[in-house]
Amino acid sequence: MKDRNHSSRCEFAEDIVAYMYGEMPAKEQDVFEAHIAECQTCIDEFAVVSEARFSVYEWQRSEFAPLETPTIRVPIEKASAAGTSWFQKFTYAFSPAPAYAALGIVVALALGFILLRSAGQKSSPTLAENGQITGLNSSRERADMREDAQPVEPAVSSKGSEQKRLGELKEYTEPTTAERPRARIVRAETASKPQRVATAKTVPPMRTEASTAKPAKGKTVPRMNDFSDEEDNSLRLAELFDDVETLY
Amino acid sequence: MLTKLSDEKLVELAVSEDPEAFGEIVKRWDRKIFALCFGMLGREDDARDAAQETFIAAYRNLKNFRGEAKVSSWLHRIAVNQCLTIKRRAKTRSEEFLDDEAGQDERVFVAPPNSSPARTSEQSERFFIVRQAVGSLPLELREVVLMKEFEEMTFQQISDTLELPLSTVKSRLYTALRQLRMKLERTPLEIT
Repeated sequence: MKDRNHSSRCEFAEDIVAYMYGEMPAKEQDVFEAHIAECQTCIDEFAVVSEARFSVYEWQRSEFAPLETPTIRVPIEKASAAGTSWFQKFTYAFSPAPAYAALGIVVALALGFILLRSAGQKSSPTLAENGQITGLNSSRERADMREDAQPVEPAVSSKGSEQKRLGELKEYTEPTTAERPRARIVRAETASKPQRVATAKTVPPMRTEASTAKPAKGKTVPRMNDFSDEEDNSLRLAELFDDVETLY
Repeated sequence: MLTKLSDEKLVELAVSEDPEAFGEIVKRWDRKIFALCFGMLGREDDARDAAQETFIAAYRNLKNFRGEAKVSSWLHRIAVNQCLTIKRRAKTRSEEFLDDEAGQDERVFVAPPNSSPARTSEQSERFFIVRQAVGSLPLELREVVLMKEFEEMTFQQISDTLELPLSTVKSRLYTALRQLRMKLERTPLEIT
């Protein structure tokens, strides 16, 4: 203890606070009690410290302790504690919530996208097995496509049925290099479709020029971008968004 | 008139069988003796009983007071002896009683029985003085008082929180309470 103001302090004075707050070991407590019963200095010191402590204690109890703390109830614990029926759980799963609303919007957009994509695939021009181009509206478009799209000739050999079958397999599974430009033409035609849809109402001549320019040259149309399948999808998505914009 | 007399003079009057003189002694010292008993016992109901028995014992032993010591020291000694007696009695009680006692260990503040308007006003003024006194303590002492009395932390918890040795925490609290007592003595209550 460094309190120099209290010169007549007993060596046990340092233990007063520990005893007063009940934080003294039992053995030391017995020693202290035996000492304080005989030491008048410690008795008076104890009275001084106790009075100061009681003033703070009384102030704290009177002004702060009566303040009632709020009763906090967590609904989740209550629901889990009380057994809920299957009907309540079912209705709770479909209760209106922002998350469910957002999920519903996303699902609706996805379904709309899928439907529009499937509709676009049905209406896009395709090359039939007999070389007829379907899905084109005008005869001019069909004629243009026929010029560029040569029918696949089956590679039939004269060495037996097994080789015939191999030739058929080759015909349907391994397209020749001559087939690939045709497929690209078909794809290029479908790729040009978004432009047609997006600008059909505003600048229709551009569509006709683009569609007729390719076959007029009589060779593979030079492509500005080598679109992959995923990129093609993005174009269809752009088409979808353009349709949505035209609705509003 | 009795309020202006010293404690020793009041004891002389009480020995000469003046009941009002001893009543004045009780009025002057009841709170301090109760505080001492509360410090010794840690429970208000036990402290109240100990304070009651202290004044009864003092009244019975008035004739043994020789005036060699202060009345305050005399009353303090009686109070400490009463508290030690209560503690020894509690130790010898049965285990079942100790269990009941542990159940009653929740310290609930009970308003004093004589809660008259004057007493209430006096308490309000006292609380204001205590608040001022606590606020005027140095920060290193004030934080220990607040952690101990308001947060009800143990010395070890305060030591861990403030990263101080345990002995330093006890020393600071002891010094803080002593300084607090001095500040409270310097600011007497206006309402008596």
